Amino acid sequence: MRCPRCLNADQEFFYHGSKGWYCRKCISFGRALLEEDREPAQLSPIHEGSEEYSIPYPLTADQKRISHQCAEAIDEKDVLLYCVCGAGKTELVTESISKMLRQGKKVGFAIPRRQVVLELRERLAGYFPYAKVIAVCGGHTEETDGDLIICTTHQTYRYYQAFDLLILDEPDAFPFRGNAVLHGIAKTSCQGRMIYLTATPDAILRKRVEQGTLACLRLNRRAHGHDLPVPVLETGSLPVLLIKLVRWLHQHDSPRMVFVPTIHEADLLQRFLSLFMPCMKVTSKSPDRDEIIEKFRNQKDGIIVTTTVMERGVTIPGVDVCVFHADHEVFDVASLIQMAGRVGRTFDHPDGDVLFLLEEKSHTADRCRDELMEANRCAA
Amino acid sequence: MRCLMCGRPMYTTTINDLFSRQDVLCAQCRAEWKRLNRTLRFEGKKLHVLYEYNPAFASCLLQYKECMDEALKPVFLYPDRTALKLRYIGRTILLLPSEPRKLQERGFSHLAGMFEGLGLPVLEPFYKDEERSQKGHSAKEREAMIKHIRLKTGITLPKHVVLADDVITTGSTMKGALSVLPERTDVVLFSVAMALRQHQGIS
Repeated sequence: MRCPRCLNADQEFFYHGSKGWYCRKCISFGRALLEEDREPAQLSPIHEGSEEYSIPYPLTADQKRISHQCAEAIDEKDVLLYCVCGAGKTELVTESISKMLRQGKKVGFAIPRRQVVLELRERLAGYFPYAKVIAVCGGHTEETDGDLIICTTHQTYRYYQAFDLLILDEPDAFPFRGNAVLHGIAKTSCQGRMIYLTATPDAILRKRVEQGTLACLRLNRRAHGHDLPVPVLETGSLPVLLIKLVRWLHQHDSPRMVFVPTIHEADLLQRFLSLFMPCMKVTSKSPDRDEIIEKFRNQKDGIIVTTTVMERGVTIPGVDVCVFHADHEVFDVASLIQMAGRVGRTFDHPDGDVLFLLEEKSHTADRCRDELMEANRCAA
Repeated sequence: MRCLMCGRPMYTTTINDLFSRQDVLCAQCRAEWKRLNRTLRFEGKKLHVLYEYNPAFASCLLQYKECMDEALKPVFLYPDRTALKLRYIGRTILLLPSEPRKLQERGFSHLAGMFEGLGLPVLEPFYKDEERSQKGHSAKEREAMIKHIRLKTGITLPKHVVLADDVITTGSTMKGALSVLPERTDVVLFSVAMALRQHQGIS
């Protein structure tokens, strides 16, 4: 047996109820009976002229080349755009989106995080002025049909076999990473090609590249042409780390982000730092998350203690980053690279400092540093 | 054996577990439900409730009723099955009515599912004469429910009964059912969960 929606094949998760077999793995999306024929989602045809696009600033030669190669490659197989943080991944796929729209094909853009969906909709609606670009995520589900659909990975359950091209942004981010149900429903929503956008592809994607079923396009240079900031690793006992952290914070007058592994640690560290300097805190439990981030953005020299909620999709000009307890098990290579990738994303502030503070030596932190150095070397 | 809510495997930890399964939920999932297990009085009758209607209970009930996950039917009463059987021995369980449209869609009666493992006789003698769901209605509108519960004709009711429902909020459905029962019936009330905020007349 195989669930038509989430592709689960584990027999333990099937149950025979009064209307027949159904899959319990994806039950939170409603009961999907195995015997029932699933109709592909009915979406309206693409408006004419929606393929026209304009990006408000010129792409670099590298970006142009990659975006062209990507549009070519999707005719043959799925594509992995393996690009460093801040390389402008969205801009790289606009040509492919336009190409599909011209052929009258549906394009979906799925992102694990809700906040990014809304932000991206604004951006893409600007790039594609004649297309109906809609955002579908928790709280925005009244309208689910458009030319270009931006949605959270959860919402792809609405679009069974509906997309001819599905762009999956950051497939290594929570909650999509390692979630078999979300992987399954994203896969079944797409009947054509997929493009994966990531700075940190996981083992499965890498394996598919090796097997040749996935075309890999690499971009190791950010648009402004500067090197990626490489983290400095410092090891010490907890009191030493705290002293190092306070000194580091005093040495910088830019906006400073301090990442910690757990919400509890964020509370403690914010209280400690508040003894020396004003400091804010954002975790997934903060009710006014957006306001605090907005305040931090406007302050120009603020300090914020945060967990992995701010690890992706946040651009703050001129920020410097410190990861406290970078040897903690919640941080994997992908999340460390993403946190380091918050630095130097804008043309005005292309450089910055990244500091990893570790209680003990860690392979993860070493690998993160090595991968960033490798990317810089490849780009040079 | 996996936990029916979170799907994580459950291991046998004690000899007691080995010989008789104690629960169908894992300890973490069960701990999120707040247990009341209290006997209260409502409309002069004894009312027994097992749990508080908290977010964890609500999400489980939602998955059972709205996502139509029939596999969840034992989770509500499984740990109490023996105690309930002893408590209500000699009585017949009367289930409060649910909407016919929902019933059709689900393909199973959610209350009957909950109570089927107890080994007590179960009857569904009521119906609603108007299609209406209680969800999203104010307490006042719910009160109006009293007038819309009817007894099916041609059913002989036993003398000793338990009126059973999944969640008691204002108690209006219970009141409605009580008002149509013959006067000489010996009734006690049972509800799996109770919403603690707006109960009236329950002590």
